[in-house]
Amino acid sequence: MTRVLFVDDEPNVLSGIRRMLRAARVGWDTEFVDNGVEALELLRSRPVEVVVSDMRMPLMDGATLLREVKKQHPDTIRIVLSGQSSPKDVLKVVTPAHRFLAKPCDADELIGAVRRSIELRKGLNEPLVTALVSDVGALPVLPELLTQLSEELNAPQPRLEVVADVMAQDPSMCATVLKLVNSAFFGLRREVSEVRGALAFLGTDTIASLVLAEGVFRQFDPEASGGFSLAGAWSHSSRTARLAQQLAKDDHVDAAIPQLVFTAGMLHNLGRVMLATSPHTRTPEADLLDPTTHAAVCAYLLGLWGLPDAIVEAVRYHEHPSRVTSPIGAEVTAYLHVASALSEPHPDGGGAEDVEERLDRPYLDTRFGVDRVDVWSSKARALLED
Amino acid sequence: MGEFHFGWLEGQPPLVVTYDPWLLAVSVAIPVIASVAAMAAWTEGRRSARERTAWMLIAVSMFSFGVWAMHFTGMIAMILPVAISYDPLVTLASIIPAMAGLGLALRVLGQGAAREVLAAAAFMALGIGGMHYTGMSSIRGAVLVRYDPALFVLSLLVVFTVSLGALWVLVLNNRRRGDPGRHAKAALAGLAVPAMHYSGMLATRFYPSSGAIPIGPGVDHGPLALWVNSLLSVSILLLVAAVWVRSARRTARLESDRMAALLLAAPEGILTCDKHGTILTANRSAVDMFGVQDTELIGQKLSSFLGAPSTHGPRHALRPDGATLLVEVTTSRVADEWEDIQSIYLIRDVTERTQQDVRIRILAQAVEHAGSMVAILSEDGIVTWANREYQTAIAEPVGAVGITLTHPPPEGDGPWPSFQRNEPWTGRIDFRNGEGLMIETNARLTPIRADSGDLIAFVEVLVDLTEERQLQAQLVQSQKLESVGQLAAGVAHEINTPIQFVGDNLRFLSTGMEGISSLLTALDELLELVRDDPRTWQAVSRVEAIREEVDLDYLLSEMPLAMRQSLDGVDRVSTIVRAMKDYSHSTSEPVASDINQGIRNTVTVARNEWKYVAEVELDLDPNLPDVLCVQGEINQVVLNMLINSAHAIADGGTEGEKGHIRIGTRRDGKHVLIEVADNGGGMPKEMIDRVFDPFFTTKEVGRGTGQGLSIARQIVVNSHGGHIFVESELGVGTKFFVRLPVQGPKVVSAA
Repeated sequence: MTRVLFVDDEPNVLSGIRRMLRAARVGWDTEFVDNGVEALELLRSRPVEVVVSDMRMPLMDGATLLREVKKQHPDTIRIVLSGQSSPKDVLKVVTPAHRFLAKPCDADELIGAVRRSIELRKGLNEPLVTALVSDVGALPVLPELLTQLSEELNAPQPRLEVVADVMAQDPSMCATVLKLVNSAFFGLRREVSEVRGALAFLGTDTIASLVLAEGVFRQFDPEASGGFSLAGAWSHSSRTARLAQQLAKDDHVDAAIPQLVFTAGMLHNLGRVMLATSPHTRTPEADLLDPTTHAAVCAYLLGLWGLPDAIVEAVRYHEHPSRVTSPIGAEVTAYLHVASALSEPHPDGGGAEDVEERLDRPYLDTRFGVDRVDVWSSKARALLED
Repeated sequence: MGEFHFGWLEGQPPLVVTYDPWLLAVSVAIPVIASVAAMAAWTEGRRSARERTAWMLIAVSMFSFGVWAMHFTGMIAMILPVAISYDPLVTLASIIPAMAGLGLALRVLGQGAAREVLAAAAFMALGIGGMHYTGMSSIRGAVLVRYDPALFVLSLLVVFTVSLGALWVLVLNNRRRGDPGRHAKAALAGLAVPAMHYSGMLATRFYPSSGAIPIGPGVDHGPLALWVNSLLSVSILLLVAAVWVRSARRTARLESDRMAALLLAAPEGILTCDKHGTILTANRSAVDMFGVQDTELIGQKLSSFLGAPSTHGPRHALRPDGATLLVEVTTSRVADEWEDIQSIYLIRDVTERTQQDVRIRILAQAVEHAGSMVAILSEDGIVTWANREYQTAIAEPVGAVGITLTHPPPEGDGPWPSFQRNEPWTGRIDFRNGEGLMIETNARLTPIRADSGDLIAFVEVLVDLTEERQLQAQLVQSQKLESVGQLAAGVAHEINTPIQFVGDNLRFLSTGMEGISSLLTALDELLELVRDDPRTWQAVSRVEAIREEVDLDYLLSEMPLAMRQSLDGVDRVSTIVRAMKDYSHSTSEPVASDINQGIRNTVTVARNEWKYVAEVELDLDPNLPDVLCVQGEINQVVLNMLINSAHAIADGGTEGEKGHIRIGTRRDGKHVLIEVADNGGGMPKEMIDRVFDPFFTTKEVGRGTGQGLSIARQIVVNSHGGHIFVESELGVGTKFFVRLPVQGPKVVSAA
């Protein structure tokens, strides 16, 4: 049974949630405490899968509590449910929390967020999850990009377009920005799938606080990562993203799908990068090499962070597009699948002869028609030639 | 040598002497003219020390020749009945006593003391007398010349007396400069000669000598006349030459005196240089200019004092003491007949003037860039000069009357009373600028007076207060907004927590009610089954009584409704709280913003302002792109337009009928257009023009500051690079439009 702990200094909120969940018959094993100290005590005696905490509380505030939880129980999913709303407050928990929910939070939203975080986890082995979840918030970034970014942000009048140019090159930064923007605190009534839009929405002041905050990004250290090439992985990401976006653009006048495709392309390698670079990873070699594991890990994180479902799906199933069920997800996944399969050099190795093997022609042909898939394939090859 | 004998010859009649009247007259005229000429030469001689001797010689010669010529002309005029001749040597020598006498006379004359004059007159008389009697002794021929001693002495006395008088007059003349009668006095001195001659002739008697041949009248004086004529010609030539030389000299001297005076007085330094550039002369100013002694200048090279010529502006000059001067140099050249070229340098020290020029230029620039409107007005108030700022605010100001004189201040007196007290006037002036915008200024009009006290000009300075006022008002507004925002965030948090559990509880109750409701339905069925059973009859009727009492059917139908409405209410409260929070949440930099959401929030927040007078219809384009803007400011713009519309409806709408406000958005190329339309009374044309003016308001005091639309304009136009405009028809309604660039205000990139 899923164990969920709610922490809030207002007892009425806790009983309200308890009654609401009881009425919704979610079937979780729930615990309710009204302060952080007690919450940590409870966790020590019996761990939970999900912690949902208020931000502003006496004795120990939410940010401190979640940091402690992260330290002591790294595999616990940490969700904030708060009436606080300033960007400053959100930035305080951007590292320890996976998800931000704003009060008043609709029952469906709350239940949905908890359910999703648990479901995404299914099929992943426990140590892997532990490693990943504990590392969230310290994503590896290329040192030179971080330097460029800091320089611009430290300028007397940072230019948004320059900031966006730099951040859009780095999937770790993209993911973090999208996580922040899609949090409920920013009051957006829609999902943001595009990095530049997200940056424009945040503004350079907030971006500066984010980037310069400790523990949000960590500089990639090739020594500690056994020769893994972050630059190589990122360049595959951006190549795939551009290719997939171009394919989507040719089919869609509307910018929404190409944007989703581009972001999915940028982020689809994140799982591999996290596994390869995390100092905490204790993953068996076999798992590290398994592309399905990468994709599942990555999708899990993106899902946790509240990124749009189409992106999460596309990332998760870009190796196996036939498993997607939603129509938008299927389309986004298909573009990413084609672009990723054709984009050379592939990080999984293999030469040109493996390309056909990587492409799931039978599914694509039945779903989108042979002609359309042929067009994609030839267009992609032509674009890659350039 | 001739003979000289006193005493009449007894018993022998003297010869009868007659005179030719014409020649007699000539003989009187000659010494007069000679005396005048001599006088002129003598005067000239007194002027110049160097030429004194020469002029004295000329004067003596002139006078002596005159005496001599008079004597012999007098002799020629005398007609004797016998032939006589003259000894040429004695005739010529007879001039010597005259010259000696006059020369000695002039020498002793000195400063004209009485003793000196007496001595001079004696010498002069002796000279003239000596000449006369020497001349008489040159007579040859058949005559005997005899003198009466008494008359002889008398003749000397006559000449002495006349000479004394003449010299006395001359001395007086010498003391009084520029005596106009000096020629007459000279003529008087000239008369001493014929006086002497003819009185001498009275002392003379001619007796025929033995062998004298009587002749008739018309005796030929041939050789003597020739002598006299020659000497006269020479003396006239001499006279003409002397006069000519004298006048030429005087012109030259005047010229050079003038030049010398000019050089001395000239404020410019004047140097002359030879063809090698060596300084030959330097005037006083040049010496002063270079701060040296003239000996330090003369003989030096000019190039060691004067820098190379510059193509623009003044040249540099170096003083030996190290100071640098700025000078303007004019050069001219003179050359004499031997091609000895000399250059004349006219040097004007313009150091002061150049520095002053620079100061004036800086001053002019300062006025030009004063950051205020500055104009100079003539004494009758016409603008004669205006700086750029003034010209920007007021189209073609030059030639028009100054703003302060045409626009009465909104409070206090106009400028004239201040001027009567001789004070500058300060006050507020509002006017409409070239673009038709109202400008509020602090004005100062200062009269400028000449030293005489006459009014010659005004200086008008206007300091634009509009922006400052507007910024102030905006600051106040944004501070208000900020504090509202802070409060709102706090209040939001306070409200959100109870809403959370109220919502959760309602949902729980609602779900619970559904369960109870279905349970009761099932129990109802059970009740029907056992109603007629006598064992339960009592219990059933008790249940039915309670059911009646609590009105269960009503409860069951109304309670779900009450739950739903309560949940709706909770939703609405959370929407309002969220709108309030979002409305006041503001970044200071432009970020991508959802204009539609901003409008929804604004309408929600301002509900109280419009809900009693109007319905608000939202017609928002769902595909509107995000706009790069400061959302809080744009919200404020929408709020101001919304409130303005609500007020317009309240003031001008139909009584007892709600008005209508429509807020629409749509994409317009690279812009987003926001439109706020109302069916209030509309505005007249003149109001439309002024609606964005700061402090313009038609609202009664207390209702509005008149700042709302002006601030809206400031935000849209100045901060966001957009446009704001208004369309209005009287009796129909007003439409405000805001056009914002999607990409935000164009920021000048630093790179």
